[in-house]
Amino acid sequence: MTLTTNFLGLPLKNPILVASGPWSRNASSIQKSIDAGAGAVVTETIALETGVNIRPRIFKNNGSLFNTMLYSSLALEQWENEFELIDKKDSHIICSIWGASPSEISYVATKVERMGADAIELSISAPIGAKNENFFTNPNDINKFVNAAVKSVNIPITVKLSYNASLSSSIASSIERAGALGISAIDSLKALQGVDIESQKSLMPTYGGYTGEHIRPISLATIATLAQFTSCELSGIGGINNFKNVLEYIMLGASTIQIASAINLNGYGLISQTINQLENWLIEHSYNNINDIKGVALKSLVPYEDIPVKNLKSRVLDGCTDVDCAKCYSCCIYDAIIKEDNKPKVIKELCTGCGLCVQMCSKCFELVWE
Amino acid sequence: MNIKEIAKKAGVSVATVSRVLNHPEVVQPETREHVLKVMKEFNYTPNWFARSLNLNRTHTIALMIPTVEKTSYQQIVSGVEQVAIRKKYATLLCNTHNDLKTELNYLDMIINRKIDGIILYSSNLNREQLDKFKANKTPLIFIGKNDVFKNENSCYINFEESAFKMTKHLIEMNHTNIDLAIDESSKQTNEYFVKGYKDAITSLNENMGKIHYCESSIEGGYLLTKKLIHKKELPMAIFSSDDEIAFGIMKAAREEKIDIPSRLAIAGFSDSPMCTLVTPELTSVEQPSKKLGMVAARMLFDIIEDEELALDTTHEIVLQSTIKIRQSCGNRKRIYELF
Repeated sequence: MTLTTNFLGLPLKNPILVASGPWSRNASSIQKSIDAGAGAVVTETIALETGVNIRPRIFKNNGSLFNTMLYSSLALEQWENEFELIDKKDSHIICSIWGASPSEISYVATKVERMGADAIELSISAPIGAKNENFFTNPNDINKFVNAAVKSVNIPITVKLSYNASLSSSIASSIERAGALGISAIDSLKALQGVDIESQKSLMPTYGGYTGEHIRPISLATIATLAQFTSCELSGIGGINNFKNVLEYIMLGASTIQIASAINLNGYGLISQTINQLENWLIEHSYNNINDIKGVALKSLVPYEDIPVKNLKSRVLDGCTDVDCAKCYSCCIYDAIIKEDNKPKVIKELCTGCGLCVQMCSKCFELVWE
Repeated sequence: MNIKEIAKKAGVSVATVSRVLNHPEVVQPETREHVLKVMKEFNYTPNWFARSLNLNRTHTIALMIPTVEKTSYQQIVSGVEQVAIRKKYATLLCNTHNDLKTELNYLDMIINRKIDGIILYSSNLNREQLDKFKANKTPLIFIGKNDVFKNENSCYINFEESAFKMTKHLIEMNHTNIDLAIDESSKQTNEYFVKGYKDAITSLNENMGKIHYCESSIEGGYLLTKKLIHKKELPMAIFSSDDEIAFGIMKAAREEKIDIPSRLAIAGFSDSPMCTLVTPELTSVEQPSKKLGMVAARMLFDIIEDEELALDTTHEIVLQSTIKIRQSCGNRKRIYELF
């Protein structure tokens, strides 16, 4: 059984990458990910100027984080020193970089290539701070920008996209035409934690990047969409907490995945744990190669228009024991569930087979063919 | 065998090989020995290596700027110096007072003192003078855009685009009749400023306003506005090429009881810290001046350290500015940032 895979032409020992972020902010933090067995590590975003660490800057909401770090607080010269201290072993370093103009990005790309980056991830749509609005909408500008980086280096390039940009097939194709080999999706979402209604103030002083398990469903849909309209290799990012999430992304067409905020919440040990569990799952399911499951779940996705309407209706099972639980009555907006002899009853003529009652209470309901 | 191939053979980055040659003391001893061994094995001597050893570097770079009295120039100095100090270099500051003679004197001094490299901002040199200096082969980077040093290594802020975007913003705020007030002494940048302004007006089918040249100071803006009021030629909006002029316009408007922004909208340039102290807060264009200094210094050190790598092409790096939209042009929204 092997987890080895090829991404952007790099032979990776496994598809588990560590995403760009403060957990990859310098040599010692990157080393922790390498030592934990990551296939490759993406650095915090390196730019011509240094980012500021506002305080506080990380905000938490259950399993998700709002991050207000824009880019690395280390200058290019400091990164040169950090690079010397990293022992790459059999892992790879992907430098995340940002520049505000094509000439800027081309310069930073040359710099990180000379430092020893194995690949580059262009961070073009971080949701924090002022950004060129064109990047969200204009495929021609994205093409010029990406191409400026591609032309100036001999290492492969992946482009990290926001949710919005990922949904445009013209943006994906402009990136492909520009010569990028990969697309990483999605970047964090522009978000606010909430408002303290008593003081009537926002809980965060500025917009943050929302990451974590709540964005996973959105990112999964994005990867599935991208898998259909680009031949770029995909790196899935968003709410990866365990090996199951890794499998979900790969089954929807991702070549690699990137763990992000889960490291911030659980530590670097999560990387090795995920790799072990992934290995075990593949062995248990008699797979020899992780690539055998790449994209397998895409076949089960059907365009909305093509889904046949099955004649399914809800049926009450005998399991209902909680007389006072009234969830099923209120969840049926079709008025098809009524109370009879202290038990729920489905009025077949009114049931449209939406399936919500089954998910509310699988002990009491099932969907069956009429 | 070149530096890139050596790096590949040694299994290290090009930057590491370069540092073994330039700053061996900062490279881990094992790495250094290993790289040196590989170089020996393949009989590699960089063609500039001997030269740099013989020349005895002075570890000093020069920065030549037209003035040190404005914030944006000070930020450039700060950016250059910040990179230089990390490279263990000292920075020699040459203030030319925008005078060609002073500039030429400084260039002689730079050659005599064997300075390792020079950053020239808003140079007044003509092509002949430039070529004469270049014959000395002192590494050279230009800040600013100018026909004389086209095709030289340079970096600059895109003033044309900045002026375009700010003028467009004023038009979008429903101002017609927009004048431009520019610094009479900034010969090198005015051309691009005026072009960006005119392009915005033409592309949005507005009528061209007047272009006023004035001194780059609070007094310059003040006197200009007084004159316009008394001649009854005050436009709906004035876009000025620096914040100082804009503050002067605000001062005159306050004296004459002219409301900003309802009667007169004002936009500045360079986003000085004072913009948020005046009422209403001044909308301005933030220039990445410190970054410009850092970029110039990095480009210079690329040449000083790695001539072999730097020779292949000339680089031109263009930086973009950000419009900081505040209240002096009629905007009422809280967070409104555009690139």
